[in-house]
Amino acid sequence: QDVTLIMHHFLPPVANAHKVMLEPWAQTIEAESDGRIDIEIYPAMSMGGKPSELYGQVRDGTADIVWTLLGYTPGVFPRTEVFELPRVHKGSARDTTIALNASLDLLAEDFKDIHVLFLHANDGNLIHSASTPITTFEDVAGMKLRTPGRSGAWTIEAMGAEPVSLPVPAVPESMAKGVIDGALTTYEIVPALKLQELEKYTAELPNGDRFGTAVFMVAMNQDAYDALPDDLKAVIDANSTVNVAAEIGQMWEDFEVEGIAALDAAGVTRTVFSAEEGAKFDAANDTVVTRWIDEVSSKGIDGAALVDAARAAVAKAEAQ
Amino acid sequence: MLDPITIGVVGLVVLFALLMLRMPVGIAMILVGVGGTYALSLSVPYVRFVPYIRQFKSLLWENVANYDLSVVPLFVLMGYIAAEARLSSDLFKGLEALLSRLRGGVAMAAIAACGGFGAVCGSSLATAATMGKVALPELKKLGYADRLSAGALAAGGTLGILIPPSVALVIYAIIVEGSILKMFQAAVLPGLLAVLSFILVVAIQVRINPSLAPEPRPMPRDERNIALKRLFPVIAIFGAIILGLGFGLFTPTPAASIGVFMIAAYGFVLRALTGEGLNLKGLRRAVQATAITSGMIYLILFGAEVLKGFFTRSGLPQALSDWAATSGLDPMLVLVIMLIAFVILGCFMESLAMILVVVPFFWPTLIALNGGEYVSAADAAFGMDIEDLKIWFGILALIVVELGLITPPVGLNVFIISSLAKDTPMSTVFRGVMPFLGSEVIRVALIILIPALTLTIPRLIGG
Amino acid sequence: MHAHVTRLADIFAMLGGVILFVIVMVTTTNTGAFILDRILAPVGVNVSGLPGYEDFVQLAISGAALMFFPYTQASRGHVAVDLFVANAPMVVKRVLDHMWLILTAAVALFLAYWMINGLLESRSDAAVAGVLGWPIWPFYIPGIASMILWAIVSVSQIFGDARYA
Ligand code: NA
Ligand code: NA
Repeated sequence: QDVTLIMHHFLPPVANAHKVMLEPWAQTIEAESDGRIDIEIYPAMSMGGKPSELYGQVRDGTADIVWTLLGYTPGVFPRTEVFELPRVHKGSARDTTIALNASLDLLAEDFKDIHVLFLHANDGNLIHSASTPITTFEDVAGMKLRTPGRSGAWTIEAMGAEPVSLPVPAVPESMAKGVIDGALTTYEIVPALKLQELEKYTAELPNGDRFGTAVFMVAMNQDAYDALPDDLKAVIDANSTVNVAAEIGQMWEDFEVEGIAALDAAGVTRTVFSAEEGAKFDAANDTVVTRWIDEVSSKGIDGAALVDAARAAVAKAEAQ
Repeated sequence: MLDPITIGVVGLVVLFALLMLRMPVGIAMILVGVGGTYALSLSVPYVRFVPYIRQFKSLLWENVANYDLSVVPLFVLMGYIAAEARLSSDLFKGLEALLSRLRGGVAMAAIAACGGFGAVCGSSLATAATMGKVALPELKKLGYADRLSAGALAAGGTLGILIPPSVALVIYAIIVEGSILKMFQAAVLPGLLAVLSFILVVAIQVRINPSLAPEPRPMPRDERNIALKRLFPVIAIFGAIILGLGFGLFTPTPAASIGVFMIAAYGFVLRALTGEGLNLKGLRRAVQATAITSGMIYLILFGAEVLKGFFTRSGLPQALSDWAATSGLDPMLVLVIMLIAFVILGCFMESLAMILVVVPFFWPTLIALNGGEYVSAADAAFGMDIEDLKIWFGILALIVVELGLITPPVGLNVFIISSLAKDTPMSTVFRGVMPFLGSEVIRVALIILIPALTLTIPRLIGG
Repeated sequence: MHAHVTRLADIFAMLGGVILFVIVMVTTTNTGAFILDRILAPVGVNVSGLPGYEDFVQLAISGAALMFFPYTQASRGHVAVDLFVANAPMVVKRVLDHMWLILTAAVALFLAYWMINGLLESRSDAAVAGVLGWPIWPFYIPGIASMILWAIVSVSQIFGDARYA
């Protein structure tokens, strides 16, 4: 082959992201380049460093390609964060992923030091509760919930609950010990953390809405990309951004199936809030959006315009 | 041009050569990691050295800015404050009051006190030093043979890392991505077994050779009452910490913090009431000792991170585990060879450094031998899934690593005891330790043959 | 010179100790609130913990951990394997010791240099801690100062500390 590219990421090889998304993506590139590109995947931070360092690694070229969660480096991608917000992300990984990749021009300032291959979201957060039944807005008040990130913490605060930041592997132990009452996270993560054995209730919003999402990226070192001959760049481009968004987004919707099945098999009660209760959550989530706009405005970013643009992009994806 | 795996092997050899020349372990790890990656960059096109070097921008800071690791300095501090607040001597005196009627009873009390102190102290060396300081003069005064008392304390000191909390177990859990709490729970039964077997070793020795210990002399009544009165608060505090940790009230960092708080508060109150206990000078000494120990641990942890980046890029650990999976070797035999390798390395290496250098090689190999990461207990070579294997192997490794602290030629616990007991030569301490070593070998065999000894408690408590 | 440097390392260690005690107090408060919350939950009272507590511990411990390095060096506490050199002639021991002290200083300065770059990058990235939202870059400062002091301690030991030579 002509080039070997090193891909580094933070999950073990058994994770869906590795075996269903990254590995097949790499194989496609290898096949379509007639074997001239070889991608070696190093999972589970095996090349060293903490997950929060993946962005630095791809920017500096320690790794050629990384898959990382933007929330690992809070503050570094201020614009893209808009897609994590509740009421912007509705409840579909597919729609938000298409919207993200269609909006790259708008977000360009966040990614000027690297070459984005694609961005994606997961299907979105819902409330997981160890032992407290949740059917109303008021039930959530006072709960200690593990937050998936910065905007997640605001979402939890807006419900009158208390955000706790913990590393993902600490979640099961902390839930079992009562250090947290639950978590704001996805269905997708349930089997990996065996949440079905630790919790009795989940609760989500009506109309398939969720409490925001997390944005991930697969990015390439700019120099490594620039150094490729044009025909190999074309192979990479054909498997980047808008060209793969719908497929990758759909993948993340499908990842939920397994988690939901595990919860149902374990007899976990899954509640969908009534329209009346949903309206109360919507009102709370609107304050999260306002808070976000205020915060990025202090950095000289037009947050309101970004929210409008992101909502429009999600709506457009939904219509597709 | 060498192939990457050969470069990995050369890197390992150079590392050991530098260590033998007394280069500080952490520095040697960093040097071999960086130098080895440079060598790889010369022969492997996709390893690029300049980008690699740039990651030192964040590597050190991210390595220390770690919530889970914060338990390490906190547990170290807890032990040193307990020693400065004289909880160690209250513990020993109280146990002496209970056991002094038996022949060899005071030596037994010293061992039990080591075990008890292990419940607040994460390190063997600190346990040996603290309890040695307290118990050796008393044993000498009562007429115990140097051989017995020094052996009992050198061996008893190893309980510091076996009885939870244990810094070594925290490090191991982080390397294998296991639960710190479960490792602590798994160490409880083997730890109690160790205390009992060491006490039994004393009992057998004094039965065979009564001249080792004086005629038992029960403690005078007044002295005894005071000793027992002071034992109870110590047991209450230590018990609260170990129960809170083991039975699910707290996760490790809160447990360590509350431990430090309670012990410091008790020490100050004791001081105010009796004139003995903790003062600011003692607190300052405790912080200094904590700084030395924690600085040492954090440096080798960082060195291990640098080394890991090099070895992963060389493909050596992967090659080793691939080879093990296809070699057809008997898994149990490989396990025993690994444990023996630990003992041999432990003859001259510091225990944490050893865990950090060796476990990343042994662990993937063991997983491969067991039948892979996702094997079910029924199909696994060791009859347990990866989570149980983590726990079982961790406790076994810990015990054999701790053996290294009392084996010649470099047994750090032995050095400490012989420096505390100034007129006891090193050879006497090593001789005194031998019977305890014998019991350790039996204990390791038991834990290999009966995995339930380690797995029962974490299974029962779960979480 | 050596005495002054050692004293400074001691001060760094004490500051690290103060940080540890702050962590102890914050954690004890947070856990106390947690226990109170459990006790009062049946009567409908909510006691809230300290939001961002985990972020705080993570940021604080990064300072304390690195501030211990110089004192560990001043006390010759960074472990080394003594066995093989223990019986070597004095001159060999001294040469080795000085070589390793210089090398240690070089490693410390290397780390300081890159950490300064890390600070600048973290500042221009505007990286913050998740829940607390505090900027990360100021927390690089204790580490950078500690690496520089560590290098100075190592060099001063060549002249002022014959413990291992
Ligand atoms: Na211990
Ligand atoms: Na030894």
